Amino acid sequence: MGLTAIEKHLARASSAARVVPGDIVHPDPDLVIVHDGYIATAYRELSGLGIHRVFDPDRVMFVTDHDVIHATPLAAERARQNRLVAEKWGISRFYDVGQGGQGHVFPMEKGLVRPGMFLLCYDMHCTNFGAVGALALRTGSEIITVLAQGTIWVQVPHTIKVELTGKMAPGVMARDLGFRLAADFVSGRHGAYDYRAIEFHGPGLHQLPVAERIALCNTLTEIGICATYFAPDEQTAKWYRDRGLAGGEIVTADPDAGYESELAVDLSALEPQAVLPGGEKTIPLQAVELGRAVDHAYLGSCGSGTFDDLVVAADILRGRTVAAGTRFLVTPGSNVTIARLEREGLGDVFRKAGAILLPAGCGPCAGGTMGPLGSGETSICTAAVNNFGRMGAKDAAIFLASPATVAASAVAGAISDPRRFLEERSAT
Amino acid sequence: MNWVFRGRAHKFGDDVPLDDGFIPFRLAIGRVTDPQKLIPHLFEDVRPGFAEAATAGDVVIGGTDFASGKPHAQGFIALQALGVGMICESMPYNSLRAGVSSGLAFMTGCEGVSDMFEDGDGIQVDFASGHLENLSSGESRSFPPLDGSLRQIIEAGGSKGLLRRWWSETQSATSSGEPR
Repeated sequence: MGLTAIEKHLARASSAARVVPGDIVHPDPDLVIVHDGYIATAYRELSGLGIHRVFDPDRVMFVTDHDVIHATPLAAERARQNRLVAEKWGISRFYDVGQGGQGHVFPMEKGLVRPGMFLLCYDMHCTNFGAVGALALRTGSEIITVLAQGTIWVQVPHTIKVELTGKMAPGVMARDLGFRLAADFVSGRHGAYDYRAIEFHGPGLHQLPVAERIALCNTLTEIGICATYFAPDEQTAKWYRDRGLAGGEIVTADPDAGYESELAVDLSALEPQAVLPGGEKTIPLQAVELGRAVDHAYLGSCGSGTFDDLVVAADILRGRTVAAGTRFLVTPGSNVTIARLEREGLGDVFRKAGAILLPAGCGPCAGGTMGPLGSGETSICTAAVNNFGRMGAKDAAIFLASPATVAASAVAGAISDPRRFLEERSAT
Repeated sequence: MNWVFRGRAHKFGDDVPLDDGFIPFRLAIGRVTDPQKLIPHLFEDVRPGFAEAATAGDVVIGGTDFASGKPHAQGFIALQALGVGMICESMPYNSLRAGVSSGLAFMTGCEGVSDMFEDGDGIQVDFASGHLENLSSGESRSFPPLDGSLRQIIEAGGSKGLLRRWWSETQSATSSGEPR
């Protein structure tokens, strides 16, 4: 039996001829990423063991994205310590405040993450890198072992094959697909999913640009999917070509790869979705309380902060204004995206509409360190998660939806179907 | 490492999350890893007084989707330091990994284990063989233990134990022994 693309990545990184699900391997990462929230802790933990160096400073990257404006003196102090750690360990690839952006997004925009790479990262949303055919696994606090030894034990996961067919209707985005698919996994409709890797295949792939693939990788991570993967194709090549960057190595599954399960999704049947507050349930947007007033709308974060996501929102905002009583916060994923927004005049579209452009990074999703919610408020946003208290007050209600739905709701001041706005636009 | 635990069963049921279940979320997000600071707060949200009631050799009995949510290891670190083991019907993989990394003696996938025990029953379990006995009712069953490869990591003291061992071997192997 052949190997899935995930198994090939792990076999290669572990210098093994082949691996099978359940094997324990010690893969050698091309790059290790640690985010601002854990740098100082990692240093303290390793120093406590008497370890004062990292395995290879050139293969370690630090990013400041969870708290980019240091909203409290405590945050500023932690950031100061992070800078000291970078200096002590000799980490030259330190994308600090104002230098990179969201650490699950900008590495793909700067060519720091390329197809074929294998990464070990602190934060779970590193699964985004599957969008360009790289494999990244989360280690959490065990990143200290990776920083010291350059590897850690990894159990090879089972792989699920998802075949995409058809084409999504206007106003429907990959984020909607991700919400639906995640909910269907959780309901048990597709069998086991915990610590499974997902590979996307099928004719429906070719209409999904990398930005949409990022959203899809991102959304599935929260339910316990350990990796998501798109074998590089013309869309991937275009992503790098458009940025003047070289691509990488293409790793694809063998034709006779052994998948644990296979399922098919018809994209043309998909409708906009919303995840209800608390994350317990996902339902079609049409079944949500449409017209419910929103105090807070927020676009960006690791799953929906690419240039393409912002273009979708700008198309809805152009010539319109954000409703009175609603604050619309927009967090571009990277400085590269901010520069392009300004170059193409889209920054003005957001500003004229009354949206607030925040610095690149995680935005309010990182625990509400900026742009939080007050008691009893309602938000609709593209955050990664919406458990109660995620962005401020515990009794605030957070709905998750696609960039199009969030932008439409910001304009309407209430939860709204983006297709209405698109129809208005095409009628004029 | 002694894989045989003998003590009392502490029965918890289904859906006990790690955050604000095993241990208050503030300790997890505060990155507290000192077991002595964690132990007094074990299960305080769902069973106040657990830390005083539990002794080495006791076993926590969990139901399905036990130890769920973000895989913060603080609760496991505290259980391991107390010498308390854990058996549950199911748990997310990331939590399983956190348990292994914390060096905790535990088993998961033990369907029906909740029905075998009342809270406070006497228990004896061999985490290496999977054999389990209710010393109060006399009922015994066997479940598949954790993979041997995972038990080796637990035996070494989890990921941090492995790291500590690796560093001391590295230090003694290099003649200079000086960190860069």
